[in-house]
Amino acid sequence: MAAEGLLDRLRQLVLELDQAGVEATTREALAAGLSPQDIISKGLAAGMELVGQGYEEGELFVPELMLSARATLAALDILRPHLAGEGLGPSGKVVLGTVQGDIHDIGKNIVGIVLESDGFEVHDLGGDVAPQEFVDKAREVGADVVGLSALISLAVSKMAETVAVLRQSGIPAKVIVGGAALTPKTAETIGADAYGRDAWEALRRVRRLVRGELRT
Amino acid sequence: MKHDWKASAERVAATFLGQTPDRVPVTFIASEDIAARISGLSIREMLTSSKKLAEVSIGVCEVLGGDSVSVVVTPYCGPYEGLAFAKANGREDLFVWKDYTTPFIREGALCSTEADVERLEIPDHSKLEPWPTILEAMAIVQETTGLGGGFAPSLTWSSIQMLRGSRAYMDVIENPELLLALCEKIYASQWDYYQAYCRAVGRPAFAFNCQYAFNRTMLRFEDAWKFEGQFINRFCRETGLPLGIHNCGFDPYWVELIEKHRSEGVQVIAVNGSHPLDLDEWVRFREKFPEIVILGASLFVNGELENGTPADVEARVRENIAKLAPYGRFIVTPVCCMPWRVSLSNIFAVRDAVERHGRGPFPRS
Repeated sequence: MAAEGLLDRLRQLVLELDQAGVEATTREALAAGLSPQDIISKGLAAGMELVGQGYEEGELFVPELMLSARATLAALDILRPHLAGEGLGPSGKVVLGTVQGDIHDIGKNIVGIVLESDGFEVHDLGGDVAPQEFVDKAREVGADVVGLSALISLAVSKMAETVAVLRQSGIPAKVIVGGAALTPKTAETIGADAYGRDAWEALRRVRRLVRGELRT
Repeated sequence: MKHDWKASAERVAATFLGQTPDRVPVTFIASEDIAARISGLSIREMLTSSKKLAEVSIGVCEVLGGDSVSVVVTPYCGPYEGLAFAKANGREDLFVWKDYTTPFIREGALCSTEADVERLEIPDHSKLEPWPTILEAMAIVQETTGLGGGFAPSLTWSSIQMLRGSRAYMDVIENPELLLALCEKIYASQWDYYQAYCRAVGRPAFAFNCQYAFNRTMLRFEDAWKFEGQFINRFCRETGLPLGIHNCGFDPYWVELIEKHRSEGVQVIAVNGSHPLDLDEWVRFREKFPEIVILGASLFVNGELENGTPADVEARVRENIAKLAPYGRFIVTPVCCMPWRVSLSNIFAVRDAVERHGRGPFPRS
């Protein structure tokens, strides 16, 4: 099959949440000589964009977002050994976690898988994460972005403290916050660089943060 | 001065009956956070005895000055349902207690595999603490104040998320039978809770359920009905109870949900939500459903209450009353639980604003 046909099919399979098909077509595309860069940008990422568009338009929902992201991640695993020689690194490095005092991690998990599927290197610290843990991990991996999640309101104060500790530590990473306890106004008040209402918005904002385009 | 619960009861009853109360009622969702702030007790201290829990609950509601009273645990009791499941399955270690805010089970840990779902044991609410304490406190509160009457099951998405975590979203498409099996177990557990409630407190007047799945940012309507709506609908049909719906999500399917429940034989008597934030949307809702009580409406705890001044809060309450009180069947209620970040002065501003602006007549604009 011609290159464009394979990439078309890949986009469609991502949209159809067909993980086995995405994996098989990724292998086929590699065997056909397509570059990993093209497979990612013109196939997988373009497919995820279609899913995101459907999500924003209210035609697709969180299950589709997660399954398409998982299919894309599986394809990225296949491509990873071929990426080293192409000088392709991750889209950026993101440290994620639910702040100390809160153990809810569903929203954070959804954001994590969507970010990974977009090529971000995600370091998920889990739930109930102390401010210094974010600092240490961000420093260790050279994070571009730190993502903080909170569902319960009590944790928002700890989130504010985490943002302050990150700033004081001199970590250059941008900070994005989200979760049911947050609003854009609260995000601004506690000094975050961005707010993500849902997983897809978080992805769009993280992309812009990494490109230096966004400041709350 | 002691709160006049009789006057509150009459006010709320008149509102539900479509009559004109002496003033617009106001209610607060009093959960663990606000109770800890006001009482100074940790959650576990409150739960040490039914008498103490009842005393704290009544005291907190008196301080807030609302026209309702409830036991100060998260209204739908989802967190303690998580604890009950954890205990029934020998995994109490998964439950994380907090001293001054709602405790929760670690999401997705109890039912991380299909085998976990299959062997999940149903808790006995009459034996597993803190349920006996909570149920007895509910009975004391009802007897002391003469108020009560709502039963709030945890059907089902809140429980699904606690037990299955983010996998549940993928199950919707990949493994719907597993998710339905989990829903049935949750239903069985809630039926046990209902029976324990009836024995301890008496038959409730209505069911009050969180319909969290019904948000446009989460699930398509059909899936939300399949994994959540149909279960509370079945519960209401089996018990003969009318339904009040809570949804504090950003984009609820209010109209579709009410119409679906009606078409499936269940009467919806009240809605409790913060969104849409546009009050005119609520006026349109009121015109479409004149017989449904609105507990809300556009008084978001993370809006003016969190970020504004008492004057901002008063203005927002006044606007709510001006737009919705003329149609009746309206109760001012900040939605949802009162976060720690909301100042007590802003909370009291709600009560004071209702007292100041909540007495009719209310001309329709």
